[in-house]
Amino acid sequence: MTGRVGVLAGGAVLLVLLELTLPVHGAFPAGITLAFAFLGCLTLMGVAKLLGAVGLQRPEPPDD
Amino acid sequence: MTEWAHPAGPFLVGATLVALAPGHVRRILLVVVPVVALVLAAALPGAGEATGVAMGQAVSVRVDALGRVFALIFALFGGLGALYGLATPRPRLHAAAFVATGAAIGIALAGDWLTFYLFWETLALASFVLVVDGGTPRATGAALGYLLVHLTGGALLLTGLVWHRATGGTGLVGPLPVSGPGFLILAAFAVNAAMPPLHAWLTDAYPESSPAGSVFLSAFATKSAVYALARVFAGVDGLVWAGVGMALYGVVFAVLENNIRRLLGYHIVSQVGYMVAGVGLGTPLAISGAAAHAFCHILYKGLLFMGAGAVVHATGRGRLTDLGGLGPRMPATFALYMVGALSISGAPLLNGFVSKSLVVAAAEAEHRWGVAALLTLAGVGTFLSVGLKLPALTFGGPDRGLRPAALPGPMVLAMVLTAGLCLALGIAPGLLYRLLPFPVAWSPYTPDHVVGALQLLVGTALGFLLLRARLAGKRTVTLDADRIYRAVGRWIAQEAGGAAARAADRLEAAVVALADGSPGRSRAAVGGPVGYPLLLAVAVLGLALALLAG
Repeated sequence: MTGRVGVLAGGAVLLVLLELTLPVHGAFPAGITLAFAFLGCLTLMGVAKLLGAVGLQRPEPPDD
Repeated sequence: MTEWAHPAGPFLVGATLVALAPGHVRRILLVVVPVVALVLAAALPGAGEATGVAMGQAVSVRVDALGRVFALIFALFGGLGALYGLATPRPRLHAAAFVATGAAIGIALAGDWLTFYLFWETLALASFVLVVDGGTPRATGAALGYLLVHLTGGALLLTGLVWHRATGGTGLVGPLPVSGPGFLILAAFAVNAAMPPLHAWLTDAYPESSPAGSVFLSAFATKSAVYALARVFAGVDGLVWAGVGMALYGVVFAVLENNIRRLLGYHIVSQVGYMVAGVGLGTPLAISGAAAHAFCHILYKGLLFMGAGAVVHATGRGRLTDLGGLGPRMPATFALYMVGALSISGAPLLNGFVSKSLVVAAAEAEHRWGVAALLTLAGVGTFLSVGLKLPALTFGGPDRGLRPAALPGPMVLAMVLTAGLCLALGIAPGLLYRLLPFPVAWSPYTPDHVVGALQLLVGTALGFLLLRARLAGKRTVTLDADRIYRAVGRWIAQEAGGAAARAADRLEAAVVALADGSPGRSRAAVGGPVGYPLLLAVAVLGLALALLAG
């Protein structure tokens, strides 16, 4: 688990460095897409869990 | 004049043949018929029309660039699906799949509304049989729900079309305003496109079919609706936000899902959202993006359903809580599934990267930054569920001691071919671009776009690893929007039933009183309850009189 996080974090740093070397930049600072994905992932999971918690997720019936 | 033949023909004729032929002949037909149809679809001209008369109405078939790209992918996937199910010895499945394929092609090439409507309803009936093919009581229940929803959608379509014609509208399939009959027709298309809250038929039915049946189901109904929306309602701005809503709705509900094929079903809703948004944007780039995404989606979503179906076929299990550790035991299925998963997630070198980027680029070109950002967010959720959660809990995780059965050769071959097409279109987008309704000059392979796509994947993977424990499958069911209209439907049925019972009782009492002049005479005395048959007879008589008067 720690190893996977390390590899991904290393990959993330490399991608941001790579973005900094690109001749064409977008209007946003380097790494913003990475942060968008990370925070977006947490947000979507949070919204889903919230929906589950307010009653949209129920135990499966025993005969299901 | 260019000679061409309708590619639906081989499928519709072939459906009868595969239903009647013995096993070895059927297997030959399952290969030959789609090949013939694919050759015919590939040979369709850039533009053409054929007309005839059916039931006293002029009917026409029209070929143009928009219809051609949909007809081609329907024919191609009809063949891949037939190969996937080749070893399944059920004529009913193959016949229904051929009819569904032919009907979808018929919709894409329909020149007039009557032809369109007939193929539309044919697709609904064939899809109903495909769901029933699941062979369980749950499959039958889901199929009846599917049929009820789609017949309701068909009734909306027919009503809209009759209204449209009665008010002097043209009989040719073409753009309509979203008002009066156009609104009813749009509602019918929305049902087939699985726009929330009208989508539950999809997530209920697709997981209940057989593995091969769900592969076919994943391809035709929603993409036919996308074609219809692009043909009739391109540029309707409300569709942009409807599409964005679909894209996000699907990914959020997929996070909660425990059934692997239902999870993929929610991602059909989400991916069709991109197409609907593209249709709503309505620019040439957006329409081409929507068509490209439909083309690519049929391939990678079909591959995902093939992979999930292979797991169900080999283990007999379809819930994340019952699966795990299958990667070492099903390495080919795992690898091929991941091709589809990375494709739907927009990973470079795969077709989803090309087509999804086209839709987002079309939104950016119109300065619809919010739309582009929310569609990108939906892409994050897609990778989270389809690319990380599902494979981690199915092919990874603890070994649950499952001993999967060997997969039939054709099933694996179909997955290999579909994965190959996902890769080919991703590496050489020009192959896809030349099929699209409008020329595309946009290139997805710029350094900043590729780096951005990789950052989306890595950022999502980091988020997944951080919260992986919270994504573990649970034996739960998710209450969806269908609960609302099921409750409303139940209330209406009860109220209507009560009103019918009261009317029947009054009618019965009146008839009995007329018969012998004693209002209090019991039902037993006249041989049992007669109110309902009487009410039915009165209703039929009234309908017949109304028809005669009309």
